[in-house]
Amino acid sequence: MIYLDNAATAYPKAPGVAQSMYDYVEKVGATINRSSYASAQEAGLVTLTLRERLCRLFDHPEPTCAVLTAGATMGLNMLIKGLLRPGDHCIVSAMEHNAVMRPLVQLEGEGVSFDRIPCDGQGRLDVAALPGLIRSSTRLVVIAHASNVSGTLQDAEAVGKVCREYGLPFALDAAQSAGHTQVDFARFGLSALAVPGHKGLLGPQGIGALLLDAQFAEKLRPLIAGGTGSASDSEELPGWMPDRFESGTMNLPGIYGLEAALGFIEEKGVAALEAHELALTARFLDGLSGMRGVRLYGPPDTRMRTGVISIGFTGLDNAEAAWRLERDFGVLTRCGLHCAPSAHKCLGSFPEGSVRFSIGYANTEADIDGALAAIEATSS
Amino acid sequence: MRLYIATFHTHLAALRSCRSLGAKGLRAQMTPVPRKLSSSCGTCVRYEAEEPEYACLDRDTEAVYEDLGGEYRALRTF
Repeated sequence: MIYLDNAATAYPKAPGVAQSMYDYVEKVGATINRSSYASAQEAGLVTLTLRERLCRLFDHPEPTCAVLTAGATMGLNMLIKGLLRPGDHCIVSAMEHNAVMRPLVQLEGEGVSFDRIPCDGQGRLDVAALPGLIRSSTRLVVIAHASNVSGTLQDAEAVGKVCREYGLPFALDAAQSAGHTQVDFARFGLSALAVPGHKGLLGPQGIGALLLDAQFAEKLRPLIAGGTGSASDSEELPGWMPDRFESGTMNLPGIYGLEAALGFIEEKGVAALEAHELALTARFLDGLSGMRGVRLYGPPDTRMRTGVISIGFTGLDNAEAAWRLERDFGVLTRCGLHCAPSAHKCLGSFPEGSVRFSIGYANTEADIDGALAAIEATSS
Repeated sequence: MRLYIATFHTHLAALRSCRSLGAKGLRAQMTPVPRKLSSSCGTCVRYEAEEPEYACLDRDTEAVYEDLGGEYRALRTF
């Protein structure tokens, strides 16, 4: 089996993730933010360590503003629905995933409007077009850092600079970049950063984080209210961070798993992980060039991209091709529109979609060579 | 050595403070808050020190008391 669906979810997970989750369930078991006995404190310390690891990884100054979520989609919903009100305007890129577009389109029915910054045929953002889209009612700029379809990496620092000039909050959807390339909260000038735990961060599903600027956090209305273990004498949701955004019992197995995963990432270093994945990406792209019967969507080289590669089979239905890749060669991919119709429109692959190969830290040169041979055999 | 109790707005603040006090070599423990004391998060940190060690306490600290054997003298609210 050659697993090349890491953009959907990383496999295998980082070493130690499963053991840490098992140990929590079997040997700790306690919840956090409620009691003070030893096992509850141990769980609390692991949770604090996770927040601190997130802050180190993303150059964020304050662990209390590293809000733990169920994933990037939840974080983006907390951000978009927590901030925007009728009459407000939002700016996104033309390469967004539905994790951003669907909440926005839901809010459109309530009087929120949005515009898309145009992107070229390789999915690259036209940052110079951003100022022309800004209105007096613009309250937020949010973009996908890396495309889940083509791997195109946007110049977040340049977008952040424009946002700073205009005094606009800038939020980054790092679902496809966190753990794959350096994401810096401070350097990008972010107000919010949403990450999933189960993709490039190599943790389990069901856990992620929304890192917030402390002042910006005060502007967000929490979507979920309930018990936090704090201010228990009051029926009002407390304003303290991170309790304000973490009502209910936390996902402790997920927290233990992600904490272990980030330990692995810190040990390896994002730069080393990125170098490995981009070396394999270069090998993949090189093998694709000149191959008949397939078309590449997205950047043809490794500049400003991640290891997500989409192709279309010109003489074969993409779904048929993906099925054959699995059945005949054990190559696991994802075909279709990848919850990103807008991105596929930019790339010229709508409505037929593409077959996506997404490289992870555990892939090898042999995996890439095997996938290339399978593509060639399938397309001919 | 004196006995102190610090109360907090959040469990996270209690945890960070307990860890910080411990890192300074002080005996510190998270416990439920005595009923006589008002507290937001229900968890306090009891610690032994010559001074209240405010610098070790998280910014979301609510108050610090000296434990006089079941009676509590308020030293500072934040």
